[in-house]
Amino acid sequence: MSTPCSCLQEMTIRRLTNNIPHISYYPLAWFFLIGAVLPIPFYYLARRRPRSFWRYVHMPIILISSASVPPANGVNLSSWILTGFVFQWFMRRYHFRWWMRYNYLLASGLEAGVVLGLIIVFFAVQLPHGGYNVNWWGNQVWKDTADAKLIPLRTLAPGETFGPATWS
Amino acid sequence: MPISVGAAYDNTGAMYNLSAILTNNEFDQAKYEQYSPMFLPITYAVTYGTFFAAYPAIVVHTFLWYRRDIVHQFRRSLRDETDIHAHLMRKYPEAPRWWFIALGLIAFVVGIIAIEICHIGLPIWAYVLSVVFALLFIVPFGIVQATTNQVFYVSVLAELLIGYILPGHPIATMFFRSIASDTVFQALTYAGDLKFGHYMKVPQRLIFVSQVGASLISLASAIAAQRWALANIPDICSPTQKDFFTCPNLRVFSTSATIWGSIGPRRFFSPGAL
Repeated sequence: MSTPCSCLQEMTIRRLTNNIPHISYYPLAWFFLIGAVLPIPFYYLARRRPRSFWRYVHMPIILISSASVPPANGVNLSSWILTGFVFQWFMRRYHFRWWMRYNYLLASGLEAGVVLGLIIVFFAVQLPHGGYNVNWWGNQVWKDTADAKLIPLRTLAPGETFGPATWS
Repeated sequence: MPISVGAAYDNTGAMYNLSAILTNNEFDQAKYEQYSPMFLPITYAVTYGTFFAAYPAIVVHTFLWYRRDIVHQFRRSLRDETDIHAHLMRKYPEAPRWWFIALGLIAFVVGIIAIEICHIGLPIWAYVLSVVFALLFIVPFGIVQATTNQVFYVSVLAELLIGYILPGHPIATMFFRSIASDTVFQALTYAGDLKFGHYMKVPQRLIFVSQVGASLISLASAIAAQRWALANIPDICSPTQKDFFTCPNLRVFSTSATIWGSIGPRRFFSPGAL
């Protein structure tokens, strides 16, 4: 049965499959141009209204932090955002003197705390008797996500391939 | 392919097996055509995009917001500053500019000698290029780091660049990337230390001498430790080493160098690639 509809479908499928050899990461090269242009509008908005929200838009930071995503994921960024929000926005806005006095010390304290915690965990928990395992929800929950289990959207049958048929 | 992993895949959905396309650590076209093109999970691919966007964004942002400051600061010296730190630090003699220039020249020449003696396949012009490349990015990266405490690396752009210029040389790619990114990193660390010394009232000449001395000591001890480890730990850096000396960091480093130095950015990002 050859209705116009199925013909159209077939054409679409054929066009899609014909296009597959042309898939490449080439569009990513456009990001160079995008990156060069992105800071410009925010700069002019901030110049036009110096006290507005726009002066806080810092494009390099947005791009740099999103560049850490594949090893990092939502959890890593959310604790970061939480800390930044509490101390750089809430404390700075409502307890400015505290922030002025202690924020630098807080940064050093957090950093030293991480290192001390690392040392204690390594020597007290991981090293003795081949290491103790602490199993509770907070340690296990991330392992149950599709992200951690590396589950693909669609699993290929053995021997099946995707992508272009030829390449060089 | 999973959605968010920092690893490359082949066209059967398995992790990309780099050794399947290498002969004697050099890229083998026939093996590559037989095996598979390389595919990146979507977030990894987009990450490359954000890296690409970040470099021009940093340069443009710095130019827009700080161009006057940069010109201004190059014309000023410590004598013109009026704050208390600068006032107190004026007691000490500045480390003369020629100390820095001489140190830079010595390091540069030592670099050339090392490249020539060790035959790493990196031409001298590429070495000069990597240093110039690093110099270009020091000021913009320094400003971003100083105002926001976010550290960024030139390594991705350096690898991309050398992958286009010198395709098929993984070792040279590694050196180009290391020289470029370490130059920026060390320069900014030194600037940060100078500032710390400024606040802590350490004389400038003392900072210079102690930094150079500490660098030499750490260089010697790092090489000694590395030689000892390579000679005395069996199977070091193999994934099955029994005491877990598996070198995950170095493996990522060498993998990315092999990708950009062998398959090369041309096969990824040029029009009509794959």
